[in-house]
Amino acid sequence: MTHSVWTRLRPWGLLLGLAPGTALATPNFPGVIETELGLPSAPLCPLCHQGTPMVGTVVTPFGSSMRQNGLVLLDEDSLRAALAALEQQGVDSDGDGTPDISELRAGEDPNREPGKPGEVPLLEPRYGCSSTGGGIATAALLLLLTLMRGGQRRGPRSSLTPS
Amino acid sequence: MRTAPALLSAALARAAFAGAPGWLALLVLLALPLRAEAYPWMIRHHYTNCGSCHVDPSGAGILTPYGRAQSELLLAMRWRPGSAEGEVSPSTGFLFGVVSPPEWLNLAISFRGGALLNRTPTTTAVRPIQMVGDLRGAVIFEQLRASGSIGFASRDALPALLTSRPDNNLVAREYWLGVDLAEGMLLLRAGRILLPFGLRNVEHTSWVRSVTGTDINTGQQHGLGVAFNTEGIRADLMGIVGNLQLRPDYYRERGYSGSFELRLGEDATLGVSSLMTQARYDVTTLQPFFLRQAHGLFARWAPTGPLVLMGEVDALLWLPQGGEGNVGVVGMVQADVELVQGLHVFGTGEVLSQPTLLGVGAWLSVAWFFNPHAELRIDSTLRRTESGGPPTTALTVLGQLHLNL
Repeated sequence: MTHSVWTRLRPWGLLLGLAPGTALATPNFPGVIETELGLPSAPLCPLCHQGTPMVGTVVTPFGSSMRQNGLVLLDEDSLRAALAALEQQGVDSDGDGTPDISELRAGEDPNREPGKPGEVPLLEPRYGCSSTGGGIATAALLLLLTLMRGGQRRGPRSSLTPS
Repeated sequence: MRTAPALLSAALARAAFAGAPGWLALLVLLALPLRAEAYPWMIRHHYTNCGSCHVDPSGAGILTPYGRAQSELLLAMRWRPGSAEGEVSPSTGFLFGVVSPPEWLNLAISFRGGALLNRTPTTTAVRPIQMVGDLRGAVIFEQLRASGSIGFASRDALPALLTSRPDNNLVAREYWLGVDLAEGMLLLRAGRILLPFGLRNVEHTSWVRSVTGTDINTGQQHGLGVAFNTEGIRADLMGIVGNLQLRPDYYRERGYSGSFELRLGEDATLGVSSLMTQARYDVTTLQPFFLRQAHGLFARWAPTGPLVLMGEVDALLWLPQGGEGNVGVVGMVQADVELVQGLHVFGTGEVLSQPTLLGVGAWLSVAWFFNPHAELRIDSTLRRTESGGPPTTALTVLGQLHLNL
Protein backbone atom coordinates (compact mmCIF):
# COMPACT_ATOMS: atom_id res chain seq x y z
CA MET A 1 0.00 0.00 0.00
CA THR A 2 2.68 2.42 1.06
CA HIS A 3 4.79 1.45 -1.89
CA SER A 4 1.85 2.00 -4.21
CA VAL A 5 1.18 5.52 -2.90
CA TRP A 6 4.87 6.38 -3.16
CA THR A 7 5.01 5.09 -6.70
CA ARG A 8 2.10 7.27 -7.70
CA LEU A 9 3.42 10.38 -5.98
CA ARG A 10 7.06 10.05 -6.99
CA PRO A 11 6.81 11.88 -10.36
CA TRP A 12 5.16 14.83 -8.63
CA GLY A 13 7.77 14.76 -5.91
CA LEU A 14 10.54 14.82 -8.47
CA LEU A 15 8.87 17.70 -10.22
CA LEU A 16 8.47 19.64 -6.98
CA GLY A 17 12.03 18.80 -6.04
CA LEU A 18 13.27 20.47 -9.19
CA ALA A 19 11.12 23.54 -8.84
CA PRO A 20 12.70 25.15 -5.75
CA GLY A 21 16.09 25.14 -7.42
CA THR A 22 14.85 27.90 -9.64
CA ALA A 23 12.10 29.53 -7.65
CA LEU A 24 14.26 30.04 -4.54
CA ALA A 25 17.42 31.18 -6.30
CA THR A 26 17.35 34.71 -4.90
CA PRO A 27 17.57 33.60 -1.27
CA ASN A 28 20.84 31.98 -2.27
CA PHE A 29 22.32 35.33 -3.30
CA PRO A 30 23.74 36.10 0.17
CA GLY A 31 25.47 32.73 0.23
CA VAL A 32 26.89 33.26 -3.26
CA ILE A 33 28.24 36.69 -2.28
CA GLU A 34 29.78 35.19 0.87
CA THR A 35 31.50 32.47 -1.11
CA GLU A 36 32.59 34.65 -4.03
CA LEU A 37 34.13 37.33 -1.84
CA GLY A 38 35.34 35.08 0.97
CA LEU A 39 33.34 36.95 3.61
CA PRO A 40 33.22 35.77 7.25
CA SER A 41 29.44 35.38 6.98
CA ALA A 42 26.58 36.06 4.58
CA PRO A 43 25.38 39.60 3.86
CA LEU A 44 22.09 40.76 5.31
CA CYS A 45 19.22 42.04 3.15
CA PRO A 46 19.91 45.82 3.60
CA LEU A 47 23.05 45.45 1.49
CA CYS A 48 20.87 45.55 -1.62
CA HIS A 49 17.27 45.98 -0.47
CA GLN A 50 15.52 48.93 1.03
CA GLY A 51 12.72 47.84 3.32
CA THR A 52 11.18 44.41 3.03
CA PRO A 53 13.12 42.37 0.47
CA MET A 54 11.02 41.88 -2.65
CA VAL A 55 11.05 42.72 -6.33
CA GLY A 56 11.59 46.43 -6.82
CA THR A 57 13.43 47.08 -3.54
CA VAL A 58 16.98 46.63 -4.86
CA VAL A 59 17.58 50.36 -4.73
CA THR A 60 20.49 50.85 -2.29
CA PRO A 61 23.59 52.43 -3.89
CA PHE A 62 25.33 49.04 -3.93
CA GLY A 63 22.21 47.27 -5.21
CA SER A 64 21.80 49.85 -7.97
CA SER A 65 25.45 49.42 -8.99
CA MET A 66 24.94 45.67 -9.18
CA ARG A 67 21.88 46.09 -11.37
CA GLN A 68 23.74 48.50 -13.64
CA ASN A 69 26.38 45.81 -14.04
CA GLY A 70 23.98 43.16 -15.20
CA LEU A 71 22.43 41.68 -12.04
CA VAL A 72 19.30 39.77 -13.01
CA LEU A 73 16.62 38.49 -10.64
CA LEU A 74 17.13 34.83 -9.72
CA ASP A 75 20.27 34.48 -11.86
CA GLU A 76 23.31 33.50 -9.81
CA ASP A 77 25.65 33.74 -12.82
CA SER A 78 24.62 37.36 -13.32
CA LEU A 79 25.36 37.98 -9.63
CA ARG A 80 28.87 36.58 -9.96
CA ALA A 81 29.45 38.58 -13.11
CA ALA A 82 28.24 41.80 -11.49
CA LEU A 83 30.49 41.28 -8.46
CA ALA A 84 33.45 40.70 -10.75
CA ALA A 85 32.60 43.82 -12.75
CA LEU A 86 32.36 45.98 -9.64
CA GLU A 87 35.71 44.72 -8.42
CA GLN A 88 37.37 45.20 -11.81
CA GLN A 89 36.01 48.73 -12.20
CA GLY A 90 36.63 49.68 -8.56
CA VAL A 91 33.06 50.92 -8.22
CA ASP A 92 32.57 53.10 -5.14
CA SER A 93 28.81 53.43 -4.71
CA ASP A 94 28.84 55.67 -1.62
CA GLY A 95 31.71 57.83 -2.86
CA ASP A 96 33.75 57.48 0.33
CA GLY A 97 36.96 56.67 -1.56
CA THR A 98 36.95 52.94 -0.85
CA PRO A 99 35.70 50.55 -3.55
CA ASP A 100 32.57 48.59 -2.71
CA ILE A 101 34.16 45.16 -2.83
CA SER A 102 37.02 46.27 -0.57
CA GLU A 103 34.49 47.63 1.89
CA LEU A 104 32.51 44.43 1.87
CA ARG A 105 35.60 42.35 2.47
CA ALA A 106 36.47 44.61 5.39
CA GLY A 107 32.96 44.16 6.79
CA GLU A 108 32.09 47.79 6.08
CA ASP A 109 29.00 49.27 4.47
CA PRO A 110 29.41 50.14 0.75
CA ASN A 111 26.17 52.13 0.94
CA ARG A 112 27.19 54.69 3.50
CA GLU A 113 30.29 56.56 4.63
CA PRO A 114 31.64 55.22 7.93
CA GLY A 115 30.14 56.95 10.94
CA LYS A 116 27.05 58.22 9.14
CA PRO A 117 23.76 57.91 11.03
CA GLY A 118 21.60 54.94 10.20
CA GLU A 119 24.50 52.54 10.17
CA VAL A 120 23.44 48.92 10.17
CA PRO A 121 25.51 45.72 10.09
CA LEU A 122 25.61 44.18 6.64
CA LEU A 123 26.97 40.76 7.52
CA GLU A 124 24.88 38.35 9.56
CA PRO A 125 26.23 37.15 12.90
CA ARG A 126 27.48 33.59 12.68
CA TYR A 127 28.68 31.30 15.42
CA GLY A 128 31.28 28.61 15.11
CA CYS A 129 34.82 28.48 13.85
CA SER A 130 33.98 26.75 10.58
CA SER A 131 31.02 25.44 8.68
CA THR A 132 32.42 22.00 8.06
CA GLY A 133 35.09 21.80 10.61
CA GLY A 134 35.72 20.29 13.93
CA GLY A 135 39.43 20.19 13.16
CA ILE A 136 40.40 22.03 16.31
CA ALA A 137 37.93 20.06 18.34
CA THR A 138 39.09 16.77 16.96
CA ALA A 139 42.72 17.68 17.63
CA ALA A 140 41.87 18.62 21.22
CA LEU A 141 40.01 15.39 21.71
CA LEU A 142 42.87 13.33 20.34
CA LEU A 143 45.29 15.17 22.60
CA LEU A 144 43.18 14.38 25.65
CA LEU A 145 42.88 10.75 24.69
CA THR A 146 46.61 10.56 24.10
CA LEU A 147 47.28 12.04 27.52
CA MET A 148 44.94 9.52 29.08
CA ARG A 149 46.70 6.67 27.33
CA GLY A 150 50.04 7.96 28.56
CA GLY A 151 48.70 8.05 32.09
CA GLN A 152 47.44 4.48 31.87
CA ARG A 153 50.76 3.16 30.63
CA ARG A 154 52.38 4.53 33.72
CA GLY A 155 50.02 2.40 35.76
CA PRO A 156 48.04 3.37 38.81
CA ARG A 157 49.10 6.49 40.59
CA SER A 158 50.69 6.11 43.94
CA SER A 159 49.42 9.27 45.53
CA LEU A 160 47.06 12.10 44.95
CA THR A 161 46.85 15.37 46.78
CA PRO A 162 43.57 17.13 47.19
CA SER A 163 43.42 20.75 46.20
CA MET B 1 36.97 22.30 55.66
CA ARG B 2 35.52 19.33 57.43
CA THR B 3 36.91 16.58 55.24
CA ALA B 4 39.90 14.38 55.81
CA PRO B 5 42.39 14.96 53.00
CA ALA B 6 44.68 12.16 54.08
CA LEU B 7 41.92 9.56 54.00
CA LEU B 8 40.76 10.96 50.70
CA SER B 9 44.21 10.66 49.17
CA ALA B 10 44.53 7.09 50.24
CA ALA B 11 41.09 6.20 48.93
CA LEU B 12 41.58 7.77 45.53
CA ALA B 13 45.00 6.21 45.20
CA ARG B 14 43.28 2.86 45.15
CA ALA B 15 41.53 3.72 41.91
CA ALA B 16 41.89 0.79 39.60
CA PHE B 17 43.97 0.75 36.45
CA ALA B 18 41.80 0.92 33.34
CA GLY B 19 41.62 -1.34 30.38
CA ALA B 20 39.63 -1.63 27.23
CA PRO B 21 36.19 -1.44 28.90
CA GLY B 22 37.00 2.07 30.12
CA TRP B 23 37.92 3.20 26.67
CA LEU B 24 34.83 1.64 25.27
CA ALA B 25 32.64 3.41 27.81
CA LEU B 26 34.35 6.69 27.03
CA LEU B 27 33.74 6.36 23.33
CA VAL B 28 30.11 5.44 23.85
CA LEU B 29 29.61 8.38 26.17
CA LEU B 30 31.29 10.74 23.76
CA ALA B 31 28.61 9.90 21.27
CA LEU B 32 26.00 11.26 23.65
CA PRO B 33 25.02 14.88 23.91
CA LEU B 34 26.62 16.55 27.51
CA ARG B 35 27.90 20.25 31.69
CA ALA B 36 29.48 20.46 34.98
CA GLU B 37 27.86 22.27 37.80
CA ALA B 38 27.98 25.05 40.28
CA TYR B 39 26.28 24.76 43.63
CA PRO B 40 26.49 28.01 45.58
CA TRP B 41 24.44 26.36 48.34
CA MET B 42 27.54 24.38 49.34
CA ILE B 43 27.93 27.25 51.77
CA ARG B 44 25.92 25.08 54.16
CA HIS B 45 29.13 23.10 54.52
CA HIS B 46 31.09 26.33 55.11
CA TYR B 47 32.40 26.40 51.53
CA THR B 48 32.46 30.10 50.73
CA ASN B 49 35.23 29.73 48.15
CA CYS B 50 34.95 27.55 45.07
CA GLY B 51 38.55 26.70 44.23
CA SER B 52 38.80 23.73 46.54
CA CYS B 53 36.32 21.71 44.55
CA HIS B 54 36.52 23.34 41.10
CA VAL B 55 39.49 24.01 38.84
CA ASP B 56 37.85 27.32 37.99
CA PRO B 57 38.48 29.46 41.08
CA SER B 58 35.01 31.00 40.76
CA GLY B 59 33.24 27.67 40.49
CA ALA B 60 31.44 25.59 37.86
CA GLY B 61 33.11 23.29 35.41
CA ILE B 62 35.40 20.41 36.07
CA LEU B 63 35.97 19.24 39.63
CA THR B 64 39.28 18.72 41.34
CA PRO B 65 39.87 15.25 42.86
CA TYR B 66 39.00 16.84 46.19
CA GLY B 67 35.73 18.11 44.72
CA ARG B 68 34.92 14.66 43.38
CA ALA B 69 35.38 13.28 46.85
CA GLN B 70 32.96 15.84 48.26
CA SER B 71 30.39 14.59 45.76
CA GLU B 72 30.28 11.42 47.80
CA LEU B 73 30.93 12.83 51.27
CA LEU B 74 28.67 15.87 51.21
CA LEU B 75 26.57 15.94 48.05
CA ALA B 76 25.11 12.52 47.34
CA MET B 77 22.58 10.53 49.30
CA ARG B 78 24.17 8.10 51.74
CA TRP B 79 22.76 4.65 51.21
CA ARG B 80 24.97 3.02 53.84
CA PRO B 81 24.62 4.83 57.14
CA GLY B 82 27.42 2.77 58.60
CA SER B 83 30.11 3.97 56.21
CA ALA B 84 32.98 5.60 57.98
CA GLU B 85 33.16 9.39 58.11
CA GLY B 86 35.60 10.73 55.55
CA GLU B 87 36.17 7.47 53.72
CA VAL B 88 35.87 7.91 49.98
CA SER B 89 35.23 5.19 47.45
CA PRO B 90 37.65 4.94 44.52
CA SER B 91 34.59 4.96 42.29
CA THR B 92 34.31 8.72 42.73
CA GLY B 93 37.09 9.00 40.15
CA PHE B 94 36.82 9.52 36.42
CA LEU B 95 34.44 6.99 34.87
CA PHE B 96 33.82 5.42 38.28
CA GLY B 97 37.54 4.99 38.79
CA VAL B 98 38.01 2.39 36.06
CA VAL B 99 40.15 4.82 34.07
CA SER B 100 43.04 6.40 35.89
CA PRO B 101 44.50 9.51 34.28
CA PRO B 102 47.88 10.74 35.42
CA GLU B 103 47.86 12.69 38.65
CA TRP B 104 48.24 16.07 36.95
CA LEU B 105 45.29 15.49 34.64
CA ASN B 106 41.62 15.73 35.63
CA LEU B 107 39.02 14.39 33.25
CA ALA B 108 35.25 14.34 33.42
CA ILE B 109 32.28 13.64 31.22
CA SER B 110 29.18 15.66 31.90
CA PHE B 111 25.74 14.96 30.52
CA ARG B 112 22.53 16.82 31.20
CA GLY B 113 19.37 15.99 29.33
CA GLY B 114 15.75 15.03 29.69
CA ALA B 115 12.34 16.27 28.64
CA LEU B 116 10.86 19.73 28.59
CA LEU B 117 7.18 20.63 28.75
CA ASN B 118 6.05 24.13 27.80
CA ARG B 119 2.46 25.13 28.38
CA THR B 120 0.85 28.45 27.52
CA PRO B 121 -2.88 29.26 27.48
CA THR B 122 -2.98 28.26 23.84
CA THR B 123 -0.33 25.61 23.34
CA THR B 124 1.29 22.66 25.04
CA ALA B 125 4.53 21.22 23.74
CA VAL B 126 6.78 18.46 25.00
CA ARG B 127 10.18 17.75 23.57
CA PRO B 128 13.36 15.96 24.48
CA ILE B 129 16.19 18.26 25.50
CA GLN B 130 19.92 17.85 25.62
CA MET B 131 21.65 20.70 27.41
CA VAL B 132 25.16 19.49 27.95
CA GLY B 133 27.34 16.69 26.62
CA ASP B 134 30.93 17.62 27.29
CA LEU B 135 34.25 15.97 27.80
CA ARG B 136 36.22 18.17 30.18
CA GLY B 137 39.88 18.17 30.94
CA ALA B 138 42.09 20.14 33.30
CA VAL B 139 45.80 20.15 33.93
CA ILE B 140 47.27 21.11 37.28
CA PHE B 141 51.04 20.85 37.06
CA GLU B 142 53.12 22.83 39.49
CA GLN B 143 52.13 26.45 38.77
CA LEU B 144 50.49 25.65 35.43
CA ARG B 145 46.71 25.52 35.23
CA ALA B 146 44.73 24.69 32.11
CA SER B 147 41.16 23.71 31.51
CA GLY B 148 39.04 22.97 28.48
CA SER B 149 35.94 21.27 27.29
CA ILE B 150 34.59 19.88 24.07
CA GLY B 151 31.15 18.51 23.53
CA PHE B 152 28.16 17.94 21.33
CA ALA B 153 24.97 19.98 21.15
CA SER B 154 22.03 18.70 19.16
CA ARG B 155 20.60 22.24 18.99
CA ASP B 156 21.02 25.77 20.43
CA ALA B 157 24.19 26.58 22.47
CA LEU B 158 25.00 29.07 19.72
CA PRO B 159 27.69 31.16 21.49
CA ALA B 160 29.72 28.03 22.21
CA LEU B 161 29.60 26.47 18.75
CA LEU B 162 32.75 25.25 17.10
CA THR B 163 30.96 24.17 13.96
CA SER B 164 28.23 26.07 12.12
CA ARG B 165 25.71 23.46 11.13
CA PRO B 166 21.99 24.11 11.68
CA ASP B 167 21.93 21.31 14.29
CA ASN B 168 24.26 18.71 15.78
CA ASN B 169 27.31 20.86 16.39
CA LEU B 170 30.55 20.55 18.30
CA VAL B 171 30.77 23.01 21.18
CA ALA B 172 33.65 24.31 23.28
CA ARG B 173 32.41 26.27 26.29
CA GLU B 174 35.70 27.01 27.98
CA TYR B 175 39.41 26.64 27.37
CA TRP B 176 41.99 28.61 29.19
CA LEU B 177 45.59 28.54 30.24
CA GLY B 178 46.71 30.00 33.55
CA VAL B 179 49.49 30.35 36.02
CA ASP B 180 49.12 30.09 39.78
CA LEU B 181 51.12 32.97 41.20
CA ALA B 182 50.60 32.45 44.92
CA GLU B 183 49.87 28.87 45.90
CA GLY B 184 46.21 28.93 44.93
CA MET B 185 45.54 32.49 46.00
CA LEU B 186 46.23 34.31 42.76
CA LEU B 187 45.48 32.86 39.33
CA LEU B 188 46.22 34.69 36.10
CA ARG B 189 44.60 33.12 33.08
CA ALA B 190 43.75 33.74 29.43
CA GLY B 191 41.34 32.03 27.12
CA ARG B 192 37.64 31.40 26.94
CA ILE B 193 36.39 31.91 30.47
CA LEU B 194 33.02 32.02 32.20
CA LEU B 195 32.28 35.64 33.04
CA PRO B 196 32.66 36.32 36.77
CA PHE B 197 29.36 37.85 37.81
CA GLY B 198 26.82 37.21 40.55
CA LEU B 199 25.78 33.81 41.84
CA ARG B 200 27.19 31.06 39.71
CA ASN B 201 23.96 29.11 39.96
CA VAL B 202 23.12 26.11 37.86
CA GLU B 203 19.72 27.46 36.75
CA HIS B 204 21.10 28.90 33.55
CA THR B 205 17.71 30.07 32.30
CA SER B 206 17.00 32.14 35.43
CA TRP B 207 16.66 35.78 34.42
CA VAL B 208 19.63 36.93 36.54
CA ARG B 209 21.82 34.68 34.41
CA SER B 210 20.24 34.88 30.98
CA VAL B 211 19.57 38.64 30.92
CA THR B 212 23.08 39.50 32.14
CA GLY B 213 24.61 37.01 29.72
CA THR B 214 26.50 35.20 32.47
CA ASP B 215 24.99 31.73 32.47
CA ILE B 216 27.26 28.75 32.88
CA ASN B 217 26.04 27.05 29.72
CA THR B 218 27.00 29.60 27.11
CA GLY B 219 28.08 32.77 28.97
CA GLN B 220 31.80 32.30 28.38
CA GLN B 221 33.86 34.82 26.41
CA HIS B 222 37.51 35.22 25.49
CA GLY B 223 39.73 37.42 27.58
CA LEU B 224 42.27 37.76 30.33
CA GLY B 225 41.34 37.17 33.95
CA VAL B 226 42.82 37.42 37.39
CA ALA B 227 41.27 35.61 40.35
CA PHE B 228 42.14 36.15 43.99
CA ASN B 229 41.07 33.73 46.67
CA THR B 230 41.94 33.84 50.30
CA GLU B 231 40.27 33.14 53.60
CA GLY B 232 37.18 35.26 53.55
CA ILE B 233 37.59 36.95 50.16
CA ARG B 234 36.88 35.79 46.62
CA ALA B 235 37.56 38.20 43.79
CA ASP B 236 37.59 37.65 40.04
CA LEU B 237 38.11 40.24 37.33
CA MET B 238 38.14 39.61 33.60
CA GLY B 239 39.00 41.82 30.66
CA ILE B 240 36.77 40.73 27.78
CA VAL B 241 37.95 40.75 24.18
CA GLY B 242 34.78 39.12 22.87
CA ASN B 243 33.49 35.75 21.87
CA LEU B 244 35.95 34.75 19.19
CA GLN B 245 33.60 31.96 18.13
CA LEU B 246 31.30 34.65 16.78
CA ARG B 247 31.94 36.49 13.54
CA PRO B 248 32.30 39.05 12.06
CA ASP B 249 34.29 40.88 14.66
CA TYR B 250 31.96 43.82 14.99
CA TYR B 251 29.46 41.76 16.96
CA ARG B 252 32.04 40.92 19.66
CA GLU B 253 31.81 42.64 23.02
CA ARG B 254 34.78 44.37 24.63
CA GLY B 255 34.81 45.36 28.26
CA TYR B 256 35.12 43.84 31.70
CA SER B 257 33.25 41.67 34.14
CA GLY B 258 34.08 41.14 37.78
CA SER B 259 32.79 40.01 41.13
CA PHE B 260 33.94 40.41 44.71
CA GLU B 261 32.57 38.27 47.51
CA LEU B 262 33.26 38.78 51.19
CA ARG B 263 32.67 36.18 53.86
CA LEU B 264 30.57 37.41 56.74
CA GLY B 265 31.13 34.74 59.32
CA GLU B 266 31.17 31.00 58.70
CA ASP B 267 27.86 30.68 56.89
CA ALA B 268 27.23 33.92 55.02
CA THR B 269 28.71 35.94 52.20
CA LEU B 270 27.94 39.23 50.51
CA GLY B 271 29.14 40.09 47.04
CA VAL B 272 29.12 42.79 44.41
CA SER B 273 29.34 42.36 40.63
CA SER B 274 29.92 44.68 37.75
CA LEU B 275 29.89 44.18 34.00
CA MET B 276 30.30 46.66 31.18
CA THR B 277 30.78 45.78 27.53
CA GLN B 278 30.36 47.46 24.20
CA ALA B 279 29.99 45.98 20.76
CA ARG B 280 29.89 47.87 17.50
CA TYR B 281 26.65 46.05 16.79
CA ASP B 282 24.57 44.13 19.28
CA VAL B 283 24.27 40.56 18.12
CA THR B 284 20.60 40.33 19.13
CA THR B 285 19.13 43.71 18.25
CA LEU B 286 21.71 44.70 15.57
CA GLN B 287 21.76 48.19 17.11
CA PRO B 288 25.06 50.10 16.69
CA PHE B 289 27.62 50.84 19.40
CA PHE B 290 25.64 48.95 21.96
CA LEU B 291 26.72 49.56 25.55
CA ARG B 292 25.63 46.85 27.98
CA GLN B 293 25.96 47.28 31.73
CA ALA B 294 24.93 45.27 34.78
CA HIS B 295 25.86 46.05 38.36
CA GLY B 296 24.52 44.30 41.42
CA LEU B 297 24.67 42.58 44.76
CA PHE B 298 24.43 38.94 45.71
CA ALA B 299 24.39 37.08 49.00
CA ARG B 300 24.41 33.56 50.41
CA TRP B 301 23.38 32.55 53.91
CA ALA B 302 23.00 29.22 55.68
CA PRO B 303 21.04 30.19 58.79
CA THR B 304 20.46 26.64 59.94
CA GLY B 305 21.43 23.11 58.93
CA PRO B 306 19.09 22.20 56.12
CA LEU B 307 18.31 25.71 54.87
CA VAL B 308 20.30 27.96 52.55
CA LEU B 309 19.06 31.33 51.32
CA MET B 310 20.55 33.03 48.28
CA GLY B 311 19.71 36.18 46.44
CA GLU B 312 20.90 38.47 43.68
CA VAL B 313 19.72 41.82 42.37
CA ASP B 314 21.25 43.61 39.38
CA ALA B 315 20.66 46.97 37.78
CA LEU B 316 20.67 46.83 33.99
CA LEU B 317 21.54 49.51 31.46
CA TRP B 318 21.47 48.91 27.74
CA LEU B 319 22.33 51.91 25.64
CA PRO B 320 22.58 51.88 21.83
CA GLN B 321 24.09 54.82 19.95
CA GLY B 322 21.43 57.34 19.10
CA GLY B 323 18.75 55.20 20.70
CA GLU B 324 16.88 55.28 23.94
CA GLY B 325 18.53 53.74 26.96
CA ASN B 326 16.95 50.68 28.45
CA VAL B 327 17.19 50.77 32.24
CA GLY B 328 15.94 47.85 34.28
CA VAL B 329 16.41 45.55 37.20
CA VAL B 330 16.56 41.79 37.54
CA GLY B 331 16.50 39.80 40.74
CA MET B 332 16.24 36.36 42.24
CA VAL B 333 15.82 34.83 45.69
CA GLN B 334 16.15 31.14 46.34
CA ALA B 335 15.60 28.93 49.37
CA ASP B 336 17.19 25.48 49.34
CA VAL B 337 16.16 22.90 51.91
CA GLU B 338 18.16 19.69 52.05
CA LEU B 339 15.64 17.28 53.54
CA VAL B 340 18.22 14.53 53.91
CA GLN B 341 21.68 14.48 52.42
CA GLY B 342 21.31 14.36 48.66
CA LEU B 343 17.66 15.37 48.45
CA HIS B 344 16.96 19.08 47.92
CA VAL B 345 13.80 21.10 47.52
CA PHE B 346 14.24 24.58 46.08
CA GLY B 347 11.82 27.47 45.94
CA THR B 348 12.85 30.37 43.73
CA GLY B 349 11.26 33.71 42.99
CA GLU B 350 12.47 36.04 40.26
CA VAL B 351 11.58 39.38 38.78
CA LEU B 352 12.57 41.25 35.64
CA SER B 353 11.64 44.85 35.00
CA GLN B 354 12.60 46.75 31.86
CA PRO B 355 10.76 49.48 29.96
CA THR B 356 9.43 47.02 27.43
CA LEU B 357 9.21 43.89 29.54
CA LEU B 358 7.87 43.12 32.98
CA GLY B 359 8.08 39.60 34.35
CA VAL B 360 7.66 37.65 37.55
CA GLY B 361 8.46 33.99 37.98
CA ALA B 362 8.27 31.23 40.56
CA TRP B 363 10.21 27.97 40.53
CA LEU B 364 9.68 24.80 42.50
CA SER B 365 12.50 22.33 42.07
CA VAL B 366 13.50 18.97 43.45
CA ALA B 367 17.02 17.62 43.03
CA TRP B 368 18.00 14.14 44.07
CA PHE B 369 21.70 13.27 44.06
CA PHE B 370 21.17 9.55 44.24
CA ASN B 371 24.80 8.83 43.43
CA PRO B 372 28.02 10.90 43.54
CA HIS B 373 27.95 10.84 39.76
CA ALA B 374 24.25 11.28 39.12
CA GLU B 375 21.35 13.58 39.85
CA LEU B 376 17.70 13.54 38.94
CA ARG B 377 16.07 16.93 38.92
CA ILE B 378 12.64 18.38 38.20
CA ASP B 379 12.07 22.11 37.78
CA SER B 380 8.60 23.54 37.38
CA THR B 381 8.58 27.20 36.47
CA LEU B 382 5.62 29.53 36.23
CA ARG B 383 6.37 32.85 34.56
CA ARG B 384 4.12 35.79 33.84
CA THR B 385 5.45 38.36 31.40
CA GLU B 386 4.00 41.52 29.97
CA SER B 387 5.45 43.25 26.96
CA GLY B 388 3.06 45.89 25.69
CA GLY B 389 0.14 43.57 25.10
CA PRO B 390 -1.83 41.35 27.43
CA PRO B 391 0.18 39.41 30.00
CA THR B 392 1.35 35.94 29.08
CA THR B 393 1.62 33.10 31.56
CA ALA B 394 3.74 30.08 30.76
CA LEU B 395 4.38 26.90 32.68
CA THR B 396 7.57 24.98 32.09
CA VAL B 397 8.37 21.60 33.56
CA LEU B 398 11.84 20.22 33.01
CA GLY B 399 12.79 16.72 34.04
CA GLN B 400 16.43 15.91 33.64
CA LEU B 401 19.16 13.47 34.37
CA HIS B 402 22.59 14.89 35.12
CA LEU B 403 25.63 12.70 35.01
CA ASN B 404 29.12 13.77 36.02
CA LEU B 405 31.37 10.86 35.28
